[in-house]
Amino acid sequence: MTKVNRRDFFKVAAVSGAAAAVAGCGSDPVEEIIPMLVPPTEYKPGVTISFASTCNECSANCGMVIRTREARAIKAEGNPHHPMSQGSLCNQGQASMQAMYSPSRSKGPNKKGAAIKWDEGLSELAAKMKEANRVLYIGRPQSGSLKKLLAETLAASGGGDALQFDMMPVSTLKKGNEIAFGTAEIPEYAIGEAKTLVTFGADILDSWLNNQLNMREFTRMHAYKHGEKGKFIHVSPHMSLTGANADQWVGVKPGDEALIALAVAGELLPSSAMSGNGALKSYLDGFTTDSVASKTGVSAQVIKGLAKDFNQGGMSLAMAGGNTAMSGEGTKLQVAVNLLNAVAGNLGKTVKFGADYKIGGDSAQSFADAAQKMKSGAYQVVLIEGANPVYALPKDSGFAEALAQVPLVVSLSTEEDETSALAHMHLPTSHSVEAWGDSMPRKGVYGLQQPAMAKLPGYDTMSLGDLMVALAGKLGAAAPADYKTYLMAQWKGYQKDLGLGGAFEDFWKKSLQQGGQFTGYSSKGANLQSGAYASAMAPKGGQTGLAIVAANSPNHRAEGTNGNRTWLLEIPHPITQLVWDSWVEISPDTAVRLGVNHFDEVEITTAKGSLKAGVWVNYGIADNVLSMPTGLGREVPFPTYVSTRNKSIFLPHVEMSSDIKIKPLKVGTNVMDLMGFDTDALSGDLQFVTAVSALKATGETAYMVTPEGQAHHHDAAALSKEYTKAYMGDRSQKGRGFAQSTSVEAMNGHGGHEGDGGHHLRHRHYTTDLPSNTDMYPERAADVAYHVDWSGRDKPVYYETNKWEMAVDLDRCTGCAACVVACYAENNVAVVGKERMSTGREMSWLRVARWQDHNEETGDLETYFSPNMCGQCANAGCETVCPVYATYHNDEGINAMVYNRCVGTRYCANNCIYKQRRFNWRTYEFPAPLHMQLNPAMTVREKGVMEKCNFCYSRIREGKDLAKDMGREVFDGEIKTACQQTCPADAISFGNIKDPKAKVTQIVNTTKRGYHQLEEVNFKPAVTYLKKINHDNKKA
Amino acid sequence: MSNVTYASINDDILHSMKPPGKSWFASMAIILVMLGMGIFAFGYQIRHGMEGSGINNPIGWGVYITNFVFWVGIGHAGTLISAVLYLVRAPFRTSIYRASEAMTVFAVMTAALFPLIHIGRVWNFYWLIPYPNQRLLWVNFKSPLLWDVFAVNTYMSVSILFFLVGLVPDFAVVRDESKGLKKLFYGIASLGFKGTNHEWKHYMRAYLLFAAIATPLVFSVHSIVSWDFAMSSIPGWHTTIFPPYFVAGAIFSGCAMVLTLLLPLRAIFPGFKDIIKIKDMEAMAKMILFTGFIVTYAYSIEFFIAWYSGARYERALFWFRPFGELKFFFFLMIFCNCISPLPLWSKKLRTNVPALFIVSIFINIGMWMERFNIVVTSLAHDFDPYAWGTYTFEWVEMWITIGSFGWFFMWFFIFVKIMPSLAAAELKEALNPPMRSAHE
Amino acid sequence: MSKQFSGVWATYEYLDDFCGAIRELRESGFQRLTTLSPCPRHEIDHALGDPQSRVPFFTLAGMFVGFSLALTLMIFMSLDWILPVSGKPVVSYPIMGPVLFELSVLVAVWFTLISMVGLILRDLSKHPFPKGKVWKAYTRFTRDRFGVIVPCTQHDLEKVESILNKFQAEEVNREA
Repeated sequence: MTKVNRRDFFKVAAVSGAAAAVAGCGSDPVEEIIPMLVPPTEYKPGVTISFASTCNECSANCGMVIRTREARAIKAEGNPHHPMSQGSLCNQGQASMQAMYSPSRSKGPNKKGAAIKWDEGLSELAAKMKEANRVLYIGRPQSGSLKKLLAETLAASGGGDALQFDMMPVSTLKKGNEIAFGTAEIPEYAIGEAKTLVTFGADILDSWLNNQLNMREFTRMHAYKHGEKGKFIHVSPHMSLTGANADQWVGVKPGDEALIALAVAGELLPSSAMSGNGALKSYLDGFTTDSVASKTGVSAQVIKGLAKDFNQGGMSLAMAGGNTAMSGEGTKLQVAVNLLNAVAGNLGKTVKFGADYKIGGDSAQSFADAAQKMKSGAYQVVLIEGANPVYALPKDSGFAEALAQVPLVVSLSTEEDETSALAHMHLPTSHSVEAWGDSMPRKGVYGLQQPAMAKLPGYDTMSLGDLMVALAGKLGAAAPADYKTYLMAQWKGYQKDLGLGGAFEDFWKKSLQQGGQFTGYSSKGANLQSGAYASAMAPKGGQTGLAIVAANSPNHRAEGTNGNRTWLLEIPHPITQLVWDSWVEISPDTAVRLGVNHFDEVEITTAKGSLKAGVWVNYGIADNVLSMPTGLGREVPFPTYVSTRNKSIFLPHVEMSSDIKIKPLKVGTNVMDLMGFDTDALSGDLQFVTAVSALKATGETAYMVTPEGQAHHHDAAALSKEYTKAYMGDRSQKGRGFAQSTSVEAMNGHGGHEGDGGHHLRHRHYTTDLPSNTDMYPERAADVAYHVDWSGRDKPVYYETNKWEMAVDLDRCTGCAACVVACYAENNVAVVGKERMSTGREMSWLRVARWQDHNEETGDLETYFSPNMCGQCANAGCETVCPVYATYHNDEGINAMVYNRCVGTRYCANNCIYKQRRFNWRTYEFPAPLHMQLNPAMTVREKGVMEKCNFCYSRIREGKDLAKDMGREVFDGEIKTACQQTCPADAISFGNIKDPKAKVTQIVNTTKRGYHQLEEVNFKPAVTYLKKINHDNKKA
Repeated sequence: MSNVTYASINDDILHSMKPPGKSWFASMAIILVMLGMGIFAFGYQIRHGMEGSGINNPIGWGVYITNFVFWVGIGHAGTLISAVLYLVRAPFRTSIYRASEAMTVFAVMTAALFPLIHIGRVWNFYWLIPYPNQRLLWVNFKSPLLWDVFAVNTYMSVSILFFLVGLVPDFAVVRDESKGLKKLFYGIASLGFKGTNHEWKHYMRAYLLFAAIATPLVFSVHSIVSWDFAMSSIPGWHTTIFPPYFVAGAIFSGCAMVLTLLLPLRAIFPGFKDIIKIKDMEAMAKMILFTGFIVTYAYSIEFFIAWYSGARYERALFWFRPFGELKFFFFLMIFCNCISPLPLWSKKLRTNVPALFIVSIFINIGMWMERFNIVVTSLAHDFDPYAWGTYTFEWVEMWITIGSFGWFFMWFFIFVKIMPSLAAAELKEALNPPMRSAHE
Repeated sequence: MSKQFSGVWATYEYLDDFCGAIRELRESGFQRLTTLSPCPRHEIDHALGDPQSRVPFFTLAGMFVGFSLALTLMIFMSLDWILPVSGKPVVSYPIMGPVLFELSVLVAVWFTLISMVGLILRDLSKHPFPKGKVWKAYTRFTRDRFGVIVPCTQHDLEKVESILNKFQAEEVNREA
């Protein structure tokens, strides 16, 4: 029987006596406070300490900065010094906090759950490794010292193989380069310098290569600057987030990309430096525009247009890759694209060799071979670290079965996952946030990774490095004291390589401070080999018939590492805006042909299996192609709140708070169950495209959840104009101008004037001619001053030095939702789960709204994004209606929210025209150890309290306090909101509008494309949006 | 009315106050169960948060506020009858005003619960009251919700006082007609009222003033309630038509509720039949017809303005109401409030008790739906299409709504038994006094 | 009513007799009458010469008190907590309307009630009731009988009784 503690009892008894005391049973968990006997080093209460480190969530190894409070890591941010992430961090990288504090982390060394000592575990492992005549090590891709240490350890054990597990199909890219240029390296694709970028399948903004670097470079190239902006065309079966940011999306059948590339090359050849090359000419004559057009169904005119755009005298760039390109033609596509780059003369200009990027792992084929060897008994010991091949590889790879044949399988993974479940012994390694390490993601980039906090209390883990060292020691190799010393020894070497003099201590300290050593590299071009246009490389073109693509996204990766990060599940997928689920994307035409409707549940059958998913009809996918998100279908430990779904609305489903347990919850389905283990013939990379034998509706309506309100409003939408044949519903802005656009031409003063609110979108309902926000500030300050004087005080003084404002550049925003993750992390925003989302109880303070609007000129649908956060309105609707002043306009222009004063009338939320306020419908749980990630600078809100974005006021305070301590004013750019800090596109600027030199002031005062959302209601929000800029009023 | 004399009035009243019978206790039991459900649900909500009700974001107000407006509305007819009709000396007032005034008091008592029930942290409700406290926390008089606090409290205290003052002479009647403990009890209740000219002099003047003061309250309270919506910025709420529209609606629903209560009362106590005469009921029916038309007009003018103003958000909303996924509630409202009163045009039905009763029930439902439409659909479909939402009912709010009816009827049942449900003094006033001249 | 009562009280069945008696009594100099009736009748008031109540003055006073209370309350609180909301003036007068009205009404009502009670008690203290058994037992004034109490000195008793009987009083009791 759960006890009723005093407070609950009075709360309940006071109103309702015995009857309710029953409901009141069960009480909030009591937390003992244990005084810290031995405080960790550098423990400064209330002060944020940041550690420069390296992100290990994917093989891109971006630099990151880990913010810690009270010796606890609370947030991961990008490292501004790092040449790749340049201060930003992707959704997955930020979610490393949830990996660090994952509820599914393994508590300590164990054999099938039975706890053991580290020493005995390691000794046993060492002994077995000695006996074994061959050892297999499967781990995350390592580009740094660990690789060497690993090799030494394996050598000491008497020979072993190491495989790097990563699903990104980079072997194809390497193979393609090898064939075309004779070098298997991954070059630098200088997107930023290109005038025209054409991607063939490569979802550079979702998952291909380093999406942070890509986004940075992409904005450099594509954002409007000095009257011009680059052009971006995406050629792919699946539009994805990447295509949604393109100026043009060319939907093709999977496998047809190569044909298009060659046709374009053919168009360009005459004007190219290589026009003299007869063999090439004859090869390309096999791919005349018309023949390709007839083959692919892409009109000749489009291809010619592509060629025209691409002809930039070497300043254009074509990229290929990504999951959608892995249709069996992958390597040929890479070769064809390399050929295209060569013909366009981009080699050495936008395609720079010598960078030698280290990203991705070994091909899937090598794992199949390994599995074969395991079956044949070649390996007696298999170690698996940080990889989950059992989940990620298709079932018929036979990996799981092979693993069962191995006498000793040891998992070194941090978390318990599908693979570690099959291991005989689990020796959990620490998360990279707790461990030493380093990485060389590119030539000249030496990333250093340092522990930002002591090992998670209650979790008996060992860092991978130390484990290796210990293992080497037990194996009798000459091992250093610990991994740190080993690492430092390595870095002594790097110091030499870099030719940096001075004492090593200084070098080491400097490296630690800036997160490593970053230099450039000498780039060189390459020459096209004749093999690139050998007939063997001629693409066949895509197969006909229904095919399905397993697509990645910023929130979804084929490795499945994101599959149990609640932030990435709760934050809507950028395009579909769906949460906590798998879905299948279908084009309207296909849907109509197959007779399925939006939100229908369908059963998809392939040669390998079948699964059920909900239909999401979208224009952004080629006809006859389906797409499902990767990395789902995993079990997530999540609080079991009592569900009201499908239950009577009259009968109670009473929940005692003591009932709330953390139970594993299956989220979506694993698309890999549909995929066969088919690999690319040339590169051995896994194919992510497979033929679908049958798709039929089950007759059920799928339980798909999205915060997008319009999803519910079909019948309302049906009566408005934008209704399409496939019952997609209406996802347009209905002329309400949340995301407005204009054109380059208009900005440059011809072809319509730029004052026109996105004139090619459906017309804005209202045009307004209001005075600018800033005009009314003196007025406001004066009024307050008058009344302050009347009441005979000297406080408060309004807008004395600071008035915080924000500008959001929609031309830069890519809609990747990294800002949303940052917001969740910074402000302790609760994750509520699928059912709460479905009843409109989402807590997100910042949403990236996705609009699919009709272009009034072309009639095509176009995708726009608008990040919406609280506008801190000067004439806010929320403030005036609060009966208890729980929200008011503070002297720095922030719409302050006083949680402790709030009684929860919810009037403010009703009266907010931007619907930015969130109410705590219950007290939400943060499953341990996730609660340790909570930011102490932010209150954790209880039930019945209203909350919302406050421009990260905790960060503002922090900045001001720092400035105060240093006896100076806050300088511009010192204070960054979480969303701004992490935005890889620099779309968000934030600062003090009273400071004329501040970036935000400059933008707001000088821009010709600024506007406020719903200006006609005159709430005077402090967020200025800058219009999206398109080429001749068209975009994908 | 020859058979009604000063004496017979007393007897009828006393008959209605006889010790309760089986049926009374049976219905009281049901009522208490309903009340219990409400209390349990409320306790659950306090413990676990607002999740048990269908409110969500963007729809921050739902069934609770609907109930609040509904009950306040019910209250209005009572005051209207007792105060306004008193001032205009309407003949049919005297027979029904006591019961309807009791209804007012209890309805407002019910309504006053809902602002508390609907707030997220009810244990802090007193923060809404401007009382001196050591933290020097004050309230925001710019908030329509605070106006509500004052309006509802004022209205409640005034109607309770008005009610009790009216009761004093009748308590005196009961006192003099009874003996023993009962006599003592009513003696205290009647404050030793004797019926001397000195008492009547001040009493009648004060009573007149009460009526005069209560009259503007009838209009002010519901106007202020309507400002909770009209003062906001949401399409569908931000309308100047609301105050008159709400007041008319309130009287409409109130009269319906009066019928719902008095028709059974008449049936239960035969003596009432020749006091609460069918023509009084008919007058109520006429009132319903009249206010019903005002309400219908308000509905149509809302749509007209939405179209005529060219305000696009407004148009979108009024497109959504009849065609969106909440259309059922809209059409239910239209049927109950605009169609169902129409039969009352025929005198035959107006004077037919079952017909009247059924119509009154329909109107009660319809007026609840009206408030639901105003509160919910407006929030469901406002400015930002991305943030549109929809509403589903949940058990907690259902139970609490049931409980509120339990609460209301509990008081009414107690009232019928311990208080004279007819105003003896005023009924006598309305009779021709006994004259010797008339007898010879 | 501590004063010792001496005088006559009578009951009537018919209103016209009753009013006649009252008129006669007042004409013959008995002004300090106390009448009892089941309900207020204007005939009685006329017979008594339409006395006026002073309650309305108190009501008006209450209204003013409430109004100024509300005004000071709101201005003081806005100034004591200077929190600008929605760009509105810190002390904003239009928004005060509703509260001003409500508080005026509330206080006015309380003043009315209290003054009514006070005035009634004041009058009753001037007009003592009989103390006799018969009087205490008689309860029909709230049912269907009219009554009049005539305080008078010993030597007026006959005169008063004769007047009362002249109008066919149901019963006439003397107390001295």
